[in-house]
Amino acid sequence: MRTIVFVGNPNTGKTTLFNTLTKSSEHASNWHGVTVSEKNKEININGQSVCAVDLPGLNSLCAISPEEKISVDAIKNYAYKNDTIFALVCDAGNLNKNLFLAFEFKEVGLPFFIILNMANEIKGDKETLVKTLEKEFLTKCFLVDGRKRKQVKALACEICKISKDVSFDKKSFNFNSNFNFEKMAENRFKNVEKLLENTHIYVPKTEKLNKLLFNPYISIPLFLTIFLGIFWIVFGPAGSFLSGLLEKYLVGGLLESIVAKGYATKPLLGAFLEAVLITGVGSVICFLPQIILLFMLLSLLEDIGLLARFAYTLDAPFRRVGLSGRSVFSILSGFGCTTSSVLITRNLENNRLRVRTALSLPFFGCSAKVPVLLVVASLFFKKYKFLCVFGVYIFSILLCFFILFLTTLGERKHRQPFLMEMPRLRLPSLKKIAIDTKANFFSFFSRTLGTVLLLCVVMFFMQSFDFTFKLVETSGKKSMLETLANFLAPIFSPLGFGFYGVVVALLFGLVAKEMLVSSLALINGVALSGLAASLVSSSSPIFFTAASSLSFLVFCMLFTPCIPSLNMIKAELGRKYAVFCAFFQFFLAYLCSFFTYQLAKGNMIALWILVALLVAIFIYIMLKWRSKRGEHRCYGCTNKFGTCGRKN
Amino acid sequence: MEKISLMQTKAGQYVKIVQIGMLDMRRRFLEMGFVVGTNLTIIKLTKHSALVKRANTIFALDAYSASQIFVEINL
Repeated sequence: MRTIVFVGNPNTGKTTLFNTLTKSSEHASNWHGVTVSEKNKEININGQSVCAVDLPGLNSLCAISPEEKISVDAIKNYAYKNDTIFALVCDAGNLNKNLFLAFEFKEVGLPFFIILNMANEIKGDKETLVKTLEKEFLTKCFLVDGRKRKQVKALACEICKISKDVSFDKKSFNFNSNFNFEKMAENRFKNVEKLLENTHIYVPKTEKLNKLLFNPYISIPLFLTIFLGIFWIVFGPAGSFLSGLLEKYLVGGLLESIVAKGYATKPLLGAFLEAVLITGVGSVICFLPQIILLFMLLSLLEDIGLLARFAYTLDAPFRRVGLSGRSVFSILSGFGCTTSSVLITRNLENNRLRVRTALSLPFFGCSAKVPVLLVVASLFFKKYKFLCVFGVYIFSILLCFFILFLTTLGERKHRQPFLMEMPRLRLPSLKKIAIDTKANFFSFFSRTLGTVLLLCVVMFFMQSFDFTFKLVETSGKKSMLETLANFLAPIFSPLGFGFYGVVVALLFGLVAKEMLVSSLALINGVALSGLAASLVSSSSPIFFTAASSLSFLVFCMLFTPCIPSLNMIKAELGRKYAVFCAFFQFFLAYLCSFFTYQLAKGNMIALWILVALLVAIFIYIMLKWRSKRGEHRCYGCTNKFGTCGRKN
Repeated sequence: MEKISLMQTKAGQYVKIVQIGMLDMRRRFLEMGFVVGTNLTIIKLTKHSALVKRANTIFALDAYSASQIFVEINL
């Protein structure tokens, strides 16, 4: 079977081409390092079976970052397989940089074609450009717009046709030719310049807009306004309206009719269907519009190319807390899903930076926390629900930066080299946003629905039966769930929610955060529409006061991330970091929640403890700063920027 | 022509790289096109960073890395 491997520099549109060709919906965006693992899919082109492979972007065959290593290993692996052809994807508007890799491929002797992607964005004599490249690299060169399926399919047919004539001389690959990289890089770039001298290609300029976006006095307020806008749309009237529609027609109409049929057949079946479908699954489904809106707006922001500009602006403040501007990409993905954002940290070259970024991700509340935050915030802060949720998010983010700042105080100054290529500003493609949102929606829906359904069944069983497997209503004993959770409930009493039901919700929330709101509804035995009323009534198994609801909001925001996220941290960073993250987040959530509840209740002792804690932290900061002032600069660093942090 | 650090230039100047100093990720800089002989346009310089343009592409660098790139000003 023929294999087409898409390779190229980061942000040249490899994944977009792969998606268009294979009708897949892999995450593609307008910034560097979106794809961090190998993707492949079998397709049929003119009756011929072809395997399309998408690799993470790489700058040269000498890998530096983890995702580049994946790419280089895959290239070496595929190079020795018969029938493999490399499609070197270049951004037609950035050939001065992208052709560096083409020269490397030529020197190594790999069989490849050149695809000039985003050809619609360049202007000038395109034909001369194609002819020049074909002459230089002795291979075919194609101009294509990666978003157009017709063009991409025609391109794939052409590649399959031509690749039959390519000879595969396995011995000719010379992967170890990088002994004098500097000299070679100079020569290659000289060759590229010479090659492009007579091709009159230019990209429409966006310099004025760029200048505005690179100004921190404009870009930081713009960044904050955009995020406030996203929160307002998601948590404000638009999200609530769509959510209400779904609740009325899907849960109130379709699901309730199924439950009514169940009750007509057998009361236990009816109760089971009501618990699982309406209370469990229905509670999550109702929040889907808000989650889709969040995914859609994040996708829009990524597609324009604003994220890289924000990353540049935020690099300086992020450096103060030991992060880098490049961490912005992982952090923003963290608002969608923590698990996938941990994977994105692969695009950071430095291991210390990866650890710090990955461990700070649980502070940036993922979309699965949206339902529970909205429900609890609406109990006592109905009018200011949006501001309340926004406040909790801001508190969590500020706390994260404060902790990161404290951890940097004790350390030697680490210099993080920062070099980032700015993607071009583009008008967002509605089609791409729709595809991205659809993919995110189906991934969220399938992942959530299965887990929530299964957990609701387990929960219904454990809540309805006691340890002798008799119905609670007939035996009069406590249910399995209540007996087990009652052991842990007193731990949460100082936080204002020492109910067995909350313990159950938090435990199930560890498996999937979406379960938090479903569990609250199941324990209180109400559907989502009645959940708010039941959570403020003191006769319900779980109820909140204004103080305890605020404390619960803080706890939910900072609580240990879900098990899939911890698994991902374990896979990417190691077991000790996963264990640390789980326990640290729990204790931090407990501490913050405790002070929130006690202060909201007006407990003066808690206030004094908090003041003492803050004074201790302040003294620690001052001591660290004082000891830092005593450090001398390294004599080796002659310029004013060269502080390597070494003590003399 | 005087050899100066990239951080000592001014926004709007057109410069040519003449030397790359000791950098933590020297290879990354080289493969991104920061090699001797490359022409750059300085877009913006701040205390913490530098923005330069190399053949249609804008690059952001931190101040330390930029201070290790030595250039000559093209008049």
